[in-house]
Amino acid sequence: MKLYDYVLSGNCYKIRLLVRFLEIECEIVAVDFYPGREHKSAAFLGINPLGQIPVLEDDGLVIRDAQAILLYLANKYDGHGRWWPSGDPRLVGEVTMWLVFADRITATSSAARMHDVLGYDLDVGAARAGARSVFRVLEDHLTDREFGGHEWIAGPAPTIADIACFPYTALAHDGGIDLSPWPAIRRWLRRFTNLPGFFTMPGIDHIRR
Amino acid sequence: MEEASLSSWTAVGLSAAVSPGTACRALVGDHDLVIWRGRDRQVRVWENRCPHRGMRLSYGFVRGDRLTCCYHGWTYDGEGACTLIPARPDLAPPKAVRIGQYARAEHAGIIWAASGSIGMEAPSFPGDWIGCRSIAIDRPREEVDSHFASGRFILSHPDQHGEINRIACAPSLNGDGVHRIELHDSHLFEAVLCAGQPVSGTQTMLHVSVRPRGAAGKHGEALRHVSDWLKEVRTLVENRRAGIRTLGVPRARLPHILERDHGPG
Ligand SMILES: N[C@@H](CCC(=O)N[C@@H](CS)C(=O)NCC(=O)O)C(=O)O
Ligand code: FES
Repeated sequence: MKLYDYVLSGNCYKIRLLVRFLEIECEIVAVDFYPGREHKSAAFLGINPLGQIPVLEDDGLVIRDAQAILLYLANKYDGHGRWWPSGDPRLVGEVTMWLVFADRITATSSAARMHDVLGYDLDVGAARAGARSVFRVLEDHLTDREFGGHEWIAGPAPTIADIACFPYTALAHDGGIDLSPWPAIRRWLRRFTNLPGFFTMPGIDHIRR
Repeated sequence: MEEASLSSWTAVGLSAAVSPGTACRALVGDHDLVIWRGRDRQVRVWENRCPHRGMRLSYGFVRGDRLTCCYHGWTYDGEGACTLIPARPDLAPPKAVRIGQYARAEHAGIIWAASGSIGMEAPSFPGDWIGCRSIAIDRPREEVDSHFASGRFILSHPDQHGEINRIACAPSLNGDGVHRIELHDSHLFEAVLCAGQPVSGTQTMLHVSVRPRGAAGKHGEALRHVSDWLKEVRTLVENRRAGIRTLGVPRARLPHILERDHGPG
């Protein structure tokens, strides 16, 4: 199994996190995303015509999109169905909803970070405003969950929905977005960083509290 | 916006949001604050700036009753005095290295801060309050206040027979951004306290506590009810400026708030 990876990519980090949580073996292939733009090279476009990372290769199968890869890995390698509770239709619906939501966090918070950290030419004001409205939805959801005594996005334990939403929420400050208006989000981030096996990536503070 | 001078007690967070061993950031106009709680459970409100190189202390970490800056590890005791400079373990940290302090109080489930003078009487709201939630509203505090003062917010609540009653919100107590709503016939809660933090000219944080009625097992329901109401308050305040009419929204979608047709504005 091979992961086309970039150290500073939150989407690739999602996959590395699940690989660690499931304790599976995975070869990491470093893609020179910046400044090399290797993900737009002819060779890489042959692997992913969208020119994006992450991409996973396993047994001749090629999968792109972080959320799809999370689903694949959890279905194949999580014998306990912890990270993808496939036996419960309700939870399947909820987890999928938040997996799809994670791409909105990428489209906004990650875009703001690309602008601030890698100098991408994009409308950073729109990206930040978009991130704020996305985080508001997550904050309201996590607040309701806490009223019911729950700590995670869906179900009684962390799932791939938490993994998918974590990186670009935790990295928001790299895109000039202050998380202080969202206390429930900050509590959830802290819980996530205290999961057994958690490790950090550049820009994510990991102080055990 | 109004001069956010912290010259009167200002809500800066819910007590429950700053658990022992954690630090977080709060903004009040130009004041950038770090709020942290040591293992001794004492909350502190300081200037959010490390005297060494200016790093935000809210990125730091709490060990025991000390706060350590995440940049070079300068460590401060509960009074803001520097006790350790890791790069110079041989050196006793100079007495002059001390972080600016704000007066702070914890009351009604809310953390309050004020600049300087300790003489000010701390806020007091009798009874047993529990923190509900903090909610960001993208409007300045005076706008949020004027909505409360207008009596435009209606809080619905079930009585012991399950009948839904509606109560218009009381005006601000004394123009300090604190609004208390007393409910005499609700079976979920006795009162709701909404304290506004003027974050900036475009944002307010409302820190909200409730005095629940009845068994602890019911508190979750009361908190959720108030939280749903707060989301509607947020929508109403933000949409008004944008010219979106809330009145046309089907009542089922807005169960708590009704706009009075005679309210000012
Ligand atoms: N929906 C995709 C988005 C992946 C994505 O945005 N990847 C970034 C790096 S983190 C990328 O490759 N950007 C280059 C591009 O979109 O052209 C996923 O979740 O994997
Ligand atoms: S800036 Fe805080 S220790 Fe250096």
